[in-house]
Amino acid sequence: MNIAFLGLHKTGKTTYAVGVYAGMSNRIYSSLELVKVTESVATLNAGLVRLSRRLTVRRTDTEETETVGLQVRTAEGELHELRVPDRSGEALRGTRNSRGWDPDLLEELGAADALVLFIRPGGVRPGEPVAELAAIVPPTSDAGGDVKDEEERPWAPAMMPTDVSMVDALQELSQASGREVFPVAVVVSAWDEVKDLTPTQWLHSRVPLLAQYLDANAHRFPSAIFGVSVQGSKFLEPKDDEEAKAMKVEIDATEPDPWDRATCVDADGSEVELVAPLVWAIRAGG
Amino acid sequence: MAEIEHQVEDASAEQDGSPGEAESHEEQSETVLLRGPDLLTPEEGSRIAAAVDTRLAIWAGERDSGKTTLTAQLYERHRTGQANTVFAGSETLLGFEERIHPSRLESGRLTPRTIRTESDPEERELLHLAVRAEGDIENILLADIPGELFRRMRDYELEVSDVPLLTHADKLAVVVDGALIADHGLRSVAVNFARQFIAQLKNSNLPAEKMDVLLLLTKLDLVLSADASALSYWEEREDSLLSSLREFSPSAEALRTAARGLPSPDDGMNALMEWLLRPPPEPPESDVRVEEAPSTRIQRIRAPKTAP
Repeated sequence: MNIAFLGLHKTGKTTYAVGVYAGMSNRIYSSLELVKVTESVATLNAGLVRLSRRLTVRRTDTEETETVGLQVRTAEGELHELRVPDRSGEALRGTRNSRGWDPDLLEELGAADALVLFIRPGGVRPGEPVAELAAIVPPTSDAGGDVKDEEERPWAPAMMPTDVSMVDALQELSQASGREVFPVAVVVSAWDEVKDLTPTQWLHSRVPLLAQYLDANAHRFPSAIFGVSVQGSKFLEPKDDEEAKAMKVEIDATEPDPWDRATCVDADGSEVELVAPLVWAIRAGG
Repeated sequence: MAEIEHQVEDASAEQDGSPGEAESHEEQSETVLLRGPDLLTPEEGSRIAAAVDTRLAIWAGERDSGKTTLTAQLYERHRTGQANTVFAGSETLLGFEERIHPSRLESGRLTPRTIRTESDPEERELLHLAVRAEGDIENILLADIPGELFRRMRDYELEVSDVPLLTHADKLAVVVDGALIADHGLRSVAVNFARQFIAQLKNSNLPAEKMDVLLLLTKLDLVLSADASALSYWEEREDSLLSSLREFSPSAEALRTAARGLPSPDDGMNALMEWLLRPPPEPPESDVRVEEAPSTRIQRIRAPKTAP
């Protein structure tokens, strides 16, 4: 079974993969058990070293895509061969901006039985209307009036709000792949940054076009929503491995293991296992 | 649409890499393109109409009367969670985004603007919006026709029948610019222009019995924020214009909208969407045709019907 992670840059795809693999290695989940590793997990283990030191797991844009291959067993006893390519969000960003599919990304997504779509709350481009600013700063104030038409920043696909970018990706994927049904597990990463909302409420309030699109197209994109926090708080962000190695980070003696620190909630905010999005994708895509 | 989007093209013009980064010609030729901000041609619109039940809506109004803003805001209100309907997709998603851009902070502007619609040499004039209302997915094609065409119709430089899309409209709104109604010196001109256009409609062969027709005042916020005479002026003329429009289409209605600014229940935009979603009148029995092949329907929207 092929499961593809889809998301723009720094949306938590690799961090989630690291957290899930570490948890499965330590057999802490009842809903998904690791039977064996079928392809290299070097990137995930390197990521775990960073998570243990409270450093962010961030793959570089230039790194080769590494496909994680695992044999897993569900709580019902079903065995599945999982293949999850770990690809930089740069491929999706380039596809969106150039309006030409990255061939490898398209092949990978087209072969997927289910998608896990990542969105990070702090990285959402909301696309605010000018009216909201005008209500605070009238254009006739000392701000000096509005910009001239020729000074207006010209539109480009890169300016699309996050929800529009995600709808665009799903629409185009549906069209290019010719697939009629594409299960989508939506993962809102860095969930610890969100207060007083369930994942469903967050999706409808912060990325409403995507929420509506998934609702209206449930026959084509059956979906489930989760809030995931692998880090649990903000970590230091080394720009590369060299800087990461050189960083001296004090870790408290009471620091939990990374897999115990990670949390996941379902659409209504009830706590579930970190693997819940994967388990949902396996069931929906199987 | 599918064959258009999947056609194999050289996408090098779309890539932002330097020549040194350019892929080989063979690799470029295999690039699968995504939809850009282009609107749909009548042929592409007809393919949608052939596949799913679709309404073609036309705002008939002069330059700067707010037609594109209406269209863009019908989309944007879904994105801001203000619509009563649920966004279900769009074949022209980036077309909407390009049109709404000058109304977003990202544009660098302090006051919203809508890009002006110019004639498209390829007749790319249709935006597509699919919404879910009461459980059903409804498809709407919104024509983004330059106001200049309507000015020419009003001045008798063009016949209504010279604009083929009008013949096939399911929804036709005669747009009156609220900014002109708010202006003492221009309000009579706005009313007069609307009356002249309605006269053109009445003299045309448009199939009024198959259309929903609306008298639509835009920029209501400007009318309300002007002196009290603006609203009373419009109220008097609205009745008169509507009576005239009902000579063309007896079921014609009137509506007022304020598409821009912070949404409110009284801005008329949800009422406008309800009007768009209402099933158009059934054609008279004598006009019911045997189901046509998609290619025939494409020709119907693109070209005016020939006289029987």
